[in-house]
Amino acid sequence: MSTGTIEELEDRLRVACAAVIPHLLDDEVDVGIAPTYGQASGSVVSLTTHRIARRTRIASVAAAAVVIASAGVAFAVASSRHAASPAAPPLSSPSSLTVPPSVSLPCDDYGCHGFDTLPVVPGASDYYVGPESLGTPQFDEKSFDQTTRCAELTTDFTACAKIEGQTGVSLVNYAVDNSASANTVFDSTGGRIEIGTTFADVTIEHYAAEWGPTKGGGVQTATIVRGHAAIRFSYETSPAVVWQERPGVLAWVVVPPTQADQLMTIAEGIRSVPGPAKIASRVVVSGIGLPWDANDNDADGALLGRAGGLECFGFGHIDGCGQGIGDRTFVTPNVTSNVTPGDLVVGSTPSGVTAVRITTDQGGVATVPTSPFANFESRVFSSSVAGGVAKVEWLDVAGAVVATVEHAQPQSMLATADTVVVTTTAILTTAAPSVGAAP
Amino acid sequence: MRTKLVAAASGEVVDADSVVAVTGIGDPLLSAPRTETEPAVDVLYRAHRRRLSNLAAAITLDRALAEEVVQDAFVGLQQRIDSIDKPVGYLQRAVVHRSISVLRRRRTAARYVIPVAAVTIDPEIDETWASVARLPPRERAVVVLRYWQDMSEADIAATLGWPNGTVKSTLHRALKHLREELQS
Repeated sequence: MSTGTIEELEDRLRVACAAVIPHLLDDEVDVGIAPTYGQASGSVVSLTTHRIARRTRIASVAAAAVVIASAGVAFAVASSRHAASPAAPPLSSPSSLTVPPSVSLPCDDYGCHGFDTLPVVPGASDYYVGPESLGTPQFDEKSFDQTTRCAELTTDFTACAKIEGQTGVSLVNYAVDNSASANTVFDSTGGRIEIGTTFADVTIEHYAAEWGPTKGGGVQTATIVRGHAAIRFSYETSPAVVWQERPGVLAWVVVPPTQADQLMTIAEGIRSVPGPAKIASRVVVSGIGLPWDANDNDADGALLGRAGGLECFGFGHIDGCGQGIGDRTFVTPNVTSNVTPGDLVVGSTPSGVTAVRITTDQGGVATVPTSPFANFESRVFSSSVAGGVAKVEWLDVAGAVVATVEHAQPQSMLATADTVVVTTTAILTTAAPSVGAAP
Repeated sequence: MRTKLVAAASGEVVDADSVVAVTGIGDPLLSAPRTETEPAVDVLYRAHRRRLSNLAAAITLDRALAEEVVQDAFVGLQQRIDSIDKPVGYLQRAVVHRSISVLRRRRTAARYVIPVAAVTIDPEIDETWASVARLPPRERAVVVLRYWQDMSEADIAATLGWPNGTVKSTLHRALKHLREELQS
């Protein structure tokens, strides 16, 4: 089965989920329980022929999963100071590094809260509402708070000059029939008119393609809205139109199918209203991690923020303000590498840490300098390694190890047949951040 | 290790062969005082524990975490059952959110899900599941709900309390990742 079309990919996912998930907790051969491949279609194995063999493999994977869990837990702070390391240089003198206490952020279904605020340059957060005839708009404050981040700071770093976010998420909604409750912001089943303001540098063609019907691209029709080039498309089954209302900001309108004839009238009648004067203190650290995808509200970029006066670092999102090396170091598969499978290491450090030493699980060692970012005291780093990361160490200016986080690789993990075996250890690239200030 | 679960209300042994031990965190149905709500929770536990555990395992890719997540969800249910109108919906939502958040707390977990690859003897299924296992937890959760639980985007949004657009963007990105990986 190929994945040439979205339908083929979806079929393949149904087959895989039906074949695998019901058995993730199986840990013994039990022929009395019939594996259920469910309603999924496609190339599943013959149950009669392969039951025992399949279950045997499940058992091995279940065992591997336990090992994996142990591995994840083991990647914890091994020693906060002067950790022993075969590759470490002789320690000079005790470091004066002081790590402040960590701060937990309250998190709920929407995300985490409790950030300090960052002023926004007037106009940068302005959003759009419908014409007055639609009634009182419902502004999705929680969504705005959680899906926006500062993409560019002012030159003095005191305010946000450009924000990003709100892709595919309507900031403003109007209920349009009795089936929709008063609180329709998150009631996707109720009829409603959505007015979207998306802060992103993407073209309207791209946006319409990305947010068209899930099954197929749908028809796009060029049109004009408020003097701007626009595209009419279908947001699933609902008529929609998108255009760039101002640089870096798309406006879009979605109406229920029953109100298709109102779409263009509403779009022409949108009004700009002042946006929040402050946003949560989350700033994109450009140049490290993985590039932000403007289509995504939860991408794999690096973020620095502030909460309770402490600086917080996150990868894709910030869910805490931990100050230890284990809290501030992120290791993830480098999905962008077409060369060699390996890890991406991204992190922040206290100001006294001028370099980070990374040891791979095959013994390769690289020292990566840390860089300042904007007006944050924290320094940041990013590095792609071929293979897995075994240890990350903070080094002070004298080269002394002031903190270490390591992963004790269990032998059984490497011995598992299904394990991805790392064979190279070279450090591939090292990226330095660019200062996130607008010109 | 396996253990038997004794229904708190009746004392009977239930689901004894399939209930997984809850080591170290206590069993809410065993340790909590008896109340009139216990039978209802017990029925829910017997009816949904397995499916919820599989759901949690599919997101966390970690058996121990999955069990912990499901137990925590039932503890939460038991503590507030009088105020919950749709306990099954509550449980599903709680399990998904806890599964995602527990992985977020374990920042380095992502790398170590890679070895979870082959579980059947069908290479295509193995390849597909390995790709799903490499997705970020939020994306994997939405994929599992969509293609295993067969929930619509609207149902997922309602279940998780996410904006519909967030579900759509998350699923969109997941499919994009999967397509790129499976075609490479």
